[in-house]
Amino acid sequence: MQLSIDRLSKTYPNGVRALHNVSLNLTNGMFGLLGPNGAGKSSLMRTIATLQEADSGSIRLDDLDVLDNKTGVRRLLGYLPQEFGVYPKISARQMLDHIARLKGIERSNERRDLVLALLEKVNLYKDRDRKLGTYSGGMKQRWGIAQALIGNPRLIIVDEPTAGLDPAERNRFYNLLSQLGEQTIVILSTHIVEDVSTLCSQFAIICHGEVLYHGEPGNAIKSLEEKIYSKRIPQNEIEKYRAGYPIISTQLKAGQLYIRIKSDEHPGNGFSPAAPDLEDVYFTHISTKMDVNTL
Amino acid sequence: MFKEIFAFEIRYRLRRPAVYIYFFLVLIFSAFSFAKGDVPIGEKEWINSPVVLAQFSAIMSIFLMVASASIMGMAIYRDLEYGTKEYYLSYPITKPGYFWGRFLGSFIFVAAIGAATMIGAWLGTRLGPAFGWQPKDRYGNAQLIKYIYPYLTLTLPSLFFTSSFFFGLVSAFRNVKVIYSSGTLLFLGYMISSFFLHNSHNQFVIYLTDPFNFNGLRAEVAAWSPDQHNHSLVRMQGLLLQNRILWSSIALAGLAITWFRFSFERFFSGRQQRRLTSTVNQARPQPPRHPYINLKGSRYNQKSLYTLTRIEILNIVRDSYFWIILSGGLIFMFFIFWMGPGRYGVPDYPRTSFFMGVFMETFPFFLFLIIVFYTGETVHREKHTRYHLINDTLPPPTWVFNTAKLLSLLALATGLALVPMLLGISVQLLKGYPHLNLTQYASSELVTLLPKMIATVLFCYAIHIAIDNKFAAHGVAITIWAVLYALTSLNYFDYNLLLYSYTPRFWPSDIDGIGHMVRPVAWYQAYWTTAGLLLVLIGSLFYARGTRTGLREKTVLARQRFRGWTTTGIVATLLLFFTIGGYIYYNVSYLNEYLTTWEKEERAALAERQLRRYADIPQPRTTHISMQLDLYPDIQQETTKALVTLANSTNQTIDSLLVDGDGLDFEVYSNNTKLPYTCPLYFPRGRFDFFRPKQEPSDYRWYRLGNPLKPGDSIQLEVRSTVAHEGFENSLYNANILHNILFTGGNLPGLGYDKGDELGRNDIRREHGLPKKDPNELTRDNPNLITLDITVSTSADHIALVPGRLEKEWTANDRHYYHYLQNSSGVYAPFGILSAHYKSSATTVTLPDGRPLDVGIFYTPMNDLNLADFRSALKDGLEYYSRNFGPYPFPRLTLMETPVYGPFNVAMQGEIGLIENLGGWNADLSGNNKTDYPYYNIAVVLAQQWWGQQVAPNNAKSSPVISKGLAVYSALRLVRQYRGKDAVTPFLEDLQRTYGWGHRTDFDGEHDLLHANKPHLWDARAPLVLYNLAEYIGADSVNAALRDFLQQWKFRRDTPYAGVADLYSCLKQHIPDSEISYLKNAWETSTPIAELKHGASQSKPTTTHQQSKPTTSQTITSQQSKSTTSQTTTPQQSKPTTSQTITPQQSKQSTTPHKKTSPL
Repeated sequence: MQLSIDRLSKTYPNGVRALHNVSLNLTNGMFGLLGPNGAGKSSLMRTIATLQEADSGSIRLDDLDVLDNKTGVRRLLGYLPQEFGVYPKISARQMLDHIARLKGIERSNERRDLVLALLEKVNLYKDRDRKLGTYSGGMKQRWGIAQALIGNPRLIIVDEPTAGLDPAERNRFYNLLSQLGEQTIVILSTHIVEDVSTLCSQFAIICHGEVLYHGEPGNAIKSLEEKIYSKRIPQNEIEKYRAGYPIISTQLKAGQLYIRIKSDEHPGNGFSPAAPDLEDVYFTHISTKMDVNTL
Repeated sequence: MFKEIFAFEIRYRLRRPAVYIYFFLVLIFSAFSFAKGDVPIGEKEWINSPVVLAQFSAIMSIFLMVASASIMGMAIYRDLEYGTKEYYLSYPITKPGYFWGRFLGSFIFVAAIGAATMIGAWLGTRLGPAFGWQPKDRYGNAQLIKYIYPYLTLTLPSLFFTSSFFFGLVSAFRNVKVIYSSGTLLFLGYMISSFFLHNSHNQFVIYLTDPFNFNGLRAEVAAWSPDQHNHSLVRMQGLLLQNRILWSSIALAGLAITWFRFSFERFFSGRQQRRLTSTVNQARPQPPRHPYINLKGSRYNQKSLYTLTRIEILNIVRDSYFWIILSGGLIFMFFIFWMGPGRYGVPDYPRTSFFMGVFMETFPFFLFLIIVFYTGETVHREKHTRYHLINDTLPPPTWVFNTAKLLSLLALATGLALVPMLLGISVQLLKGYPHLNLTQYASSELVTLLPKMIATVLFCYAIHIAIDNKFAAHGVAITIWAVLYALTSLNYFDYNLLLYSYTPRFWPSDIDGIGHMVRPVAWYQAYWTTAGLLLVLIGSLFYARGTRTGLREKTVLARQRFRGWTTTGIVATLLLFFTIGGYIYYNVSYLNEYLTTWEKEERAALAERQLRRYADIPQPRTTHISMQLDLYPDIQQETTKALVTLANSTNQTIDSLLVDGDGLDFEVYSNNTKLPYTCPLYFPRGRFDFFRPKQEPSDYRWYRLGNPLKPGDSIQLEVRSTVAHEGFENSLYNANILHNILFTGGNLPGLGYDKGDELGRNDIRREHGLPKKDPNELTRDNPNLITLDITVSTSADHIALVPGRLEKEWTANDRHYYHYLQNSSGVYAPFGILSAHYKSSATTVTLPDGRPLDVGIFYTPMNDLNLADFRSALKDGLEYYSRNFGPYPFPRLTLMETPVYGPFNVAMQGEIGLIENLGGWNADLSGNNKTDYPYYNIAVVLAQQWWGQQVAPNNAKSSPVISKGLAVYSALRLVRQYRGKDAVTPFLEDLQRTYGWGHRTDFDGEHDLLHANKPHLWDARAPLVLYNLAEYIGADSVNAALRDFLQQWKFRRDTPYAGVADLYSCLKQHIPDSEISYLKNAWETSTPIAELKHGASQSKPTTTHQQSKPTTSQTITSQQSKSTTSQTTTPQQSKPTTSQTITPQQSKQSTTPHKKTSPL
């Protein structure tokens, strides 16, 4: 399977430019989307998930024109949106059964087994007959994961799937994801840079609707090797450093301020070299587009 | 803190469009009501009189409930909805600051919207005369206090009550739907209690139970004179004030309770989630390895449709508010069904036609609200819950989602439509009523209710899918519906082809069901269903799937969807729509003439302007009619061939006849040659009848006689006419030719100009440039005695009834023939002929003179429950009236049931009739209330065989004193004689109410009985004063006077005819001197009945004889007048007076004998 996005653009009626000439090529495996709030991640995912139209550009899934043949895409899709809702008066199990039926699982015994197994996998088995309206945020999120996996989807889009999950549930979810077949494209958006580096074979950084970087996490980190320096500074001198160095991130640790800069040469002045990580990649790219001030 | 929240609330509200919309809607509505004079007032009362302003304020405060519900409800619910709770819990906000800031900040806007009523009223007072909509003298001065006082005393306290109520509910239930349901319940509850209050005499209850103070207000001003209306402020004092204090205290108490129970934490955190005890350690379920997946083809679509529809319905029925609203409606409806209609406090048997009729009258708007509300919920549910992000990426094609929603709503509508049938059957079974009319249930459901509900759903659905915003869509749908409702119910516009979901009106009848109206109604229903489908198909192009917003995306999508089957479907539906519409148009505006109300009035005005000058030209009168009449009720046709003898009884030669065709298709022949004629008047074509001739002839024709008719001469002319309705009309037609019952006047055109067709209301006359009508103008003709020879044929299963003696009855060619003859005394025109699928019950009554008389009762099979009662009324009446007034002179007596469209009651020679729904056929006399009004009704119409059929009153305005007043008097005496004094009381009370209301509201200057000009005088005052007189001096003296009167005036052939003065002089001759002054005061003055003094009591109060005679009737009278003030305060109540008044259902077509007395 191959998903190719070509020069996709979208501007909302209120003037917000959500996507601008986005071009990406995705193959089977897990693909991470990184970007600040409002970068256009969700817009991109919703467009692939047939929820909205694009102004220009094209998306193809193998031979399938995603923007035109929406039904074709929906037959292959598993989608977990960000901040979705549910019918409050329907039980978790009944609702999954309903979705399973809509995803073409015709035989009722297979549907029953599948639904129960999924509920077990997302740790909702004991709460399966409760009305969805009584679920907590985390439970609802897990239910959302379950529904996205129904019907052997070939294209799975999960939009900030781990938001609201505790660390245990987050791990459980990542295990679930990694069990998915080799024949599946998984697009995952997240704020947690570390997740991308551990899970994804490919990733992209999006900001202001544009793709700033696209590649493999390892390569990205490698490209910054010997270019990252850090230093502990007094908090009140930050402005001075900001004027003199290309600061990519700042971090407060136990009352101490650490700054990281990108520099091709050793800057001296008490800076020491540091091992780059994906967060450095992320901030390096983001800072070209916007002012990243974490203080 | 209070200040910040209060200020925030105000700033927030000022930015929202809702308050402006409410404010201006109320403002515009109020301004128009007052500028156009659309307020309930008498002719002499000012449009902006303080009473009208007060009543308007009270009524509007009921409707402002909508505004207070939405504003006060949202005041704190907003924080739950937008999830701002975390901020509120973390900010240093105090409870008083939050609670009162929100409450007052919102209430200020409710109060401001409330103020729009009086601001609007004030504006209307200025605009009305400025634009010339109402003359300046219809308004009094616009002192501000007249506007401010009712606002402060009525609107504001009521709004405070409703605001506290809704605010409290939302903070207690943390839910906004509680407002929908409680608002509905409050409204229905108010309607139920108002219903009770109409029948209550308890002042305390009337004044205090109404949170809007409307009922109290109405009672307070009921007896006010026009002068008081115009000048006195309705002050809050006494019980009115107590009402205000009571309900404001309740509101305050409610608010206080809300305040003490209000807790931030509880309000924001919500209910504690119940944890289900988990059942652990079950076998770990295994997913199927390779489940069979099918995502294509019709099988998949069907399965998807099924599961989607199912989940939609589950979503509706699992909502507890659905059940609250539904059960509120059910309780209300059950209450109405159970109580049923009734007269004199006697309930009717639970008839099927009543259930279906009242349901269609009362509930459609309520049902519409339920449907529009749940359509909104269903269409926007995904977006509202944000489940659409998942739902809309699922594989089924959009049309499957669309159809599933539509199907679930149609299922809901079908369920709602079946409610009246199920409820009606339950009530009938519970009450043990034997006549379940299942056919009628089925036909009402299929022809009217279900299609109407389907059209409603399609309409609401189309609007909701086309408009993204739920509340905007609600607004649009409700506005359109309300406009349609207002247009039709206020008679502004009734062209059903342009009024979505409207069909010709009809009334379900026990005799005929829906009858011939099935066909037009079904065509219209098909038309509207197609229109609804079309709306849905077009709306579906814009069906929002996904997160698309804005017009551009929607247009792109619509264009994408407008292809293939969708295009074919839309084009095909459009074609079907135009085909059905074209067929209806062909029927309504081509085969038949459609005229708007204004056009009809304008035609009457044109006729009056052009032809009134011929009102007094000499015309001959009819003396004999020989008629062959063929009736075809099954195909609704009639043909007439009549030889009419006309005599010139004037002293001038007559050379032309002015003939009023009254819509008939007829020709006049003389010696077998068709007579030529000219039309004196043409009307312009109706504005919707594009394909009809530009000029339409009026019904009037001039026939020139070859040989002028000299005084004293007579001629014979032949009239051939047919009634064959081609196609159907925009509204009810052929109301007199039903399948099971037919009533006809013989289909002969009238002679001379008909003043009865002139416009009567002065405001309408003014609009059409006509002068005011002389209130004392004579509109009747003198009676005319004619002899008849009628042969009538009808369907084999029908029975035909004609005045006169039945000479011969036979069957030929599968038709039923009758030959009736009335050549002895003759009958007073007009006469009528009934043919119906009757059952009959015949008895023989021996009259006091020993003569046996055949008495027949003809009724529809289900109305056989009170036959014994009717028989005894007929027997008693014949006996009492014959003995007291003179022998019954006619060869037979027939009592007939007449259909729901009228005639209301029939009094023809030897024939009397009562209407099926109100006459008493259905009165359930088995209950506690034994008021035997069927007996009384019969007694009244039977008495008209003496007063009317024997003594025909002259053409004076006051003459109904004889035909109606004496008939009611006779009936009262009959009941008194055979059923005792107590049995008369309810009828006396009813007459008292009629009289009392008429007396209070007759602001033209009430006439005395000799010059009576209003119904309350001849219907009520005349019989009451006669009845009282009979109580004082004994019925025999009064009856002897009437007997004398009858002897002098019966069966007169020529002027003078009996007048009220003649009756009066007969009375005077038989009255002892002691009561002469009572008689004089009663007849020559308009002294209220309660103040009339009788006997010597006025001059010699100490006479023992007088004291020993405490007149019951007088005590009754004074009691009545007290209780009536509380009762007869509504305009609606004033109308149903005695059994003689016209039913609202009586349509124009119903040929009550009010037409010209001289059929050609």
